[in-house]
Amino acid sequence: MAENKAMDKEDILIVDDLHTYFFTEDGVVKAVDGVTFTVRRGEVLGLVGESGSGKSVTAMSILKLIPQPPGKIISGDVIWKGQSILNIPETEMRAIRGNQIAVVFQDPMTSLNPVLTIGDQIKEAIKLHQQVSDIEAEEKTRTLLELVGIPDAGKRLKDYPWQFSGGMRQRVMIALALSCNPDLLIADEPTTALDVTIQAQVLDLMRDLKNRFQTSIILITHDIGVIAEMCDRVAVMYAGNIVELADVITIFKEPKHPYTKALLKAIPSASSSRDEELYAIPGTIPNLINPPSGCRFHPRCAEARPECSEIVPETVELEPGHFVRCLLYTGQIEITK
Amino acid sequence: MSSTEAELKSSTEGKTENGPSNDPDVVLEVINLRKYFPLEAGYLFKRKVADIKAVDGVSFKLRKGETLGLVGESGCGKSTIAKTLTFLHKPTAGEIWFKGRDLRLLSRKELREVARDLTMVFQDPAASLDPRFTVMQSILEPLEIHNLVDETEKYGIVRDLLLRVGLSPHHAYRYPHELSGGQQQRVGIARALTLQPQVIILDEPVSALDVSVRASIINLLIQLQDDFKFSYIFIAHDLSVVRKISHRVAVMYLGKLMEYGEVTDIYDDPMHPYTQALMSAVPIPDPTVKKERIHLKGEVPTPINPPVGCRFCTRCRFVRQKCFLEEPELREFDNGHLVACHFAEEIKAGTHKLADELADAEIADQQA
Ligand SMILES: Nc1ncnc2c1ncn2[C@@H]1O[C@H](COP(=O)(O)OP(=O)(O)OP(=O)(O)O)[C@@H](O)[C@H]1O
Ligand SMILES: Nc1ncnc2c1ncn2[C@@H]1O[C@H](COP(=O)(O)OP(=O)(O)O)[C@@H](O)[C@H]1O
Ligand code: SF4
Ligand code: SF4
Ligand SMILES: [Mg+2]
Ligand SMILES: [Mg+2]
Repeated sequence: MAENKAMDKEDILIVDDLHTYFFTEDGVVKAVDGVTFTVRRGEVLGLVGESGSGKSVTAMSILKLIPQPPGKIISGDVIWKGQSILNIPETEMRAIRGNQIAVVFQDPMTSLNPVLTIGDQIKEAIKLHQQVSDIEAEEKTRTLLELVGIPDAGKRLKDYPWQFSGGMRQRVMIALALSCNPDLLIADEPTTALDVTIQAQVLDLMRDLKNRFQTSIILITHDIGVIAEMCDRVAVMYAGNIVELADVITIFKEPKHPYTKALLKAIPSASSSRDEELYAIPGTIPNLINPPSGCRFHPRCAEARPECSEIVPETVELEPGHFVRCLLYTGQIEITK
Repeated sequence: MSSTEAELKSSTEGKTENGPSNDPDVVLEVINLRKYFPLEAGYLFKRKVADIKAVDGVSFKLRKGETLGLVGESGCGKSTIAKTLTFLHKPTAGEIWFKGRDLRLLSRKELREVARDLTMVFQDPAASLDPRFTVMQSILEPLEIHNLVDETEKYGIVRDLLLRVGLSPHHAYRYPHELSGGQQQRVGIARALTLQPQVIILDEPVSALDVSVRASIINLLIQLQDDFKFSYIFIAHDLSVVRKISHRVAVMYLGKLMEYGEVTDIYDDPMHPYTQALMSAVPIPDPTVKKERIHLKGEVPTPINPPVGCRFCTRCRFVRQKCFLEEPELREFDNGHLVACHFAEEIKAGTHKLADELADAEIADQQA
């Protein structure tokens, strides 16, 4: 997956062969083990996979927020606007996190301060990153809350987080993230805890952002429907690796990796009748302390060959922009039909 | 089928062995169920200041071997119905008919008898199993509560149940923390099957599971129902999962039923403006399909002071003056399809304008 770092002007973020491990009592958790992808300006990149596949650790690595110890970026690189973040000192990194890269997590309650009003929290964030007066900051806060669709924004500035519903808190988080006009928004399961109706509102808001401000978004989710609706490109993660990466149409219409195919078959479609069995991937996601040898998916793979437990697949580019990590395509083994 | 549906709302006359509907296919019938929680104030001396109307007059029937899906936004009363039906809450009002008897009139002892036939599976598989119990102890516990265990048969019963839910006999001696989430949920289901119930209430049974595991649990539930003719009440946030498993679906909003019907009616031809909005919000797992979305503004109002008239009036795009004044009845359309909306016919026919499209004059007309 050697995408040329210097040449592609569009890429604002390059994650290159990233390895992030956790050194725990039980052993080394290889949470992210050789992940490569890029994010272009103004695109939504989806990161999809079952729980424990390394999506959040990838996000935290980009932000340099991995708790250390036990975690550590072992090797590889994260390049933000041409500069490796691994060499950026923490003070500068903090400025980037506030100003250029923003993040929204699944549970907004844990990321808001319970003893400060909603208005004060946003105001503080604005004043931290921009040279504005108190009055200007207050004005901007109201505009932001209106932008994310909080009715009666002026009045609700004085409310505390617990007085807001889950959907409203999530929109406040997005308002907070927007307060610095970020170039990249990392949204880690932003709608997982919400009703579909509220989810639709939050997704609309993110789409609007992308269209109006050319904000790039990394959207982490395990919801295939959300991926289909929101993303331009999709990276499918399994056990610490990206197993397939392509534009959204290719992923849904011509998936190549057996895991991608299995994921798509496991969700009920509108047309599937009650008697049709859903495809259930056998087994469970592996322990990342001692992942399976060879291809990590081999114990659960419907198309596995004997070699799959021995040879680690390389990543190949099947078509321009379509990357797959599976021995059926790499030419590392002979395929007999 | 349709004639019995029509009785659903009111009649309790002519009670028979089969309950008010006198239909041997109906295993459970709920009439006008209400569950209010007290909203309390005061520090030392708590006093009730208002009612939280979690469930406010709900009626439905559950048929043998069928699944009734229960959907609606968070807080609309789904879990409260589940808990009221399984005696975890005492109903405030209404009738619950099960096996020809009104549960409210039964003694404690009789209720315990009934409880064997009406079991529940919870959302969080880890929290619903006792961490100190082995799988075998968990599965046998319901039998022990009812003094139904024969020492010599214990192992055989557990072995059969484990195989039924796709686990192997050696899992009997494991503790919950030694099992994956999917395996824990299988134990939860095995435990619900122990007493060979007629009705199983499943409150978000797959919400905590990953897609691949979720698929295997859904397959299992459908298989078990086909084999044993259990009736399910199935609650889930994921509307595509509800579609897969349900025969009929009830759509709730703020403690009331908005629409009820066969699964295809509700999903392919929803008549109630709330159901229409809910369905349109479900993301489709196909990037080439761009669907028209109905934007629901705001959120569900509080059940302490629900809107007068139609409960959906604060968010409905078809709202009229009448909706603020009169509460719509649940009316029957074709083949047992029930809808609670004053303008269901006009909306279906496409002759009812959106509230936004109305000229001021028309609104004035309406109000007159
Ligand atoms: N024990 C209780 N005491 C007071 N209020 C309660 C209690 N249980 C539920 N409620 C309230 O009753 C209403 C219905 O709650 P319920 O749990 O039935 O919703 P639900 O439809 O299951 O929602 P969800 O989809 O979030 O699980 C809510 O307003 C809730 O806050
Ligand atoms: N602080 C930590 N200490 C040890 N292991 C961790 C820590 N954070 C994450 N992991 C492990 O890293 C792996 C990937 O986790 P994560 O990125 O959170 O998955 P997801 O794809 O669900 O977001 C998991 O095996 C998880 O247990
Ligand atoms: S390398 Fe082998 S086991 Fe891995 S996904 Fe491909 S076919 Fe399956
Ligand atoms: S009765 Fe009125 S407010 Fe209620 S759903 Fe029908 S049109 Fe909307
Ligand atoms: Mg995560
Ligand atoms: Mg609930």
